[in-house]
Amino acid sequence: MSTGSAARDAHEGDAPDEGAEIDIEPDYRFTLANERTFLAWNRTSLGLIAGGVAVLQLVPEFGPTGSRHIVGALLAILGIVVSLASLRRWALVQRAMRRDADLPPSRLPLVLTGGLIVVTLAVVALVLAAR
Amino acid sequence: MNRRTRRLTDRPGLQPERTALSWDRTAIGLLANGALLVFRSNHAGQIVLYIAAGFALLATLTCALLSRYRHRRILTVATTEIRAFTGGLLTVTGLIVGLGLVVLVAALSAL
Repeated sequence: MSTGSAARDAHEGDAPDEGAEIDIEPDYRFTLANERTFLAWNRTSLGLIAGGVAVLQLVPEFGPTGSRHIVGALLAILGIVVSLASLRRWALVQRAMRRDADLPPSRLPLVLTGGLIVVTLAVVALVLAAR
Repeated sequence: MNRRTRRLTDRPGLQPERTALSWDRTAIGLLANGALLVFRSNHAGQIVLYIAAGFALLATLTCALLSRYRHRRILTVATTEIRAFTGGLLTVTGLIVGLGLVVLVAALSAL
């Protein structure tokens, strides 16, 4: 799911009329705001990875053998996806601002929500599987 | 207040401060991951956790240095010369993805 939306993002980013626009560096406040948004997403990514580590390190064994490791791995994967997607998002936004174009729509919230739902359902399934 | 009364091109205002704080919070996030990785890592064959923690510590240092470099750069050039920090952003993404991959390996190797 995440890979699919990243691919669609990439497709949208590669506008056919590339080179036709004039690139003008945006006001520094927009550049810095875009940078902070990127960093905020990356802290979200770090939070997800930390959640994965916490599940591995602190949570007692639950459900079938290896349940904790599956949940930890899912959280780490989600963290990686969010970090990579935020870099792509940052680049697309920066380019749009340089061309004074509309900001591209973001699928990052959808990716994050979908990923968290998947993790949550996995936890529920693993807990129920042990009963 | 600054926005209304002063010329932006001359005075960067609070933007650099907020950006530097954002970078520093990211560094703290990396450090927290490192701390979690060595916390109670007494499982058998979890050397990979210590490797991951070492990586997180190096990543923290790198991120903090990037923060400092970026902040000084923003404050020393004219605001019209402030450019996107592409290299720094690529670096921090690489560090976080790297950390995620090590954690992923740690999770899967213990299965």
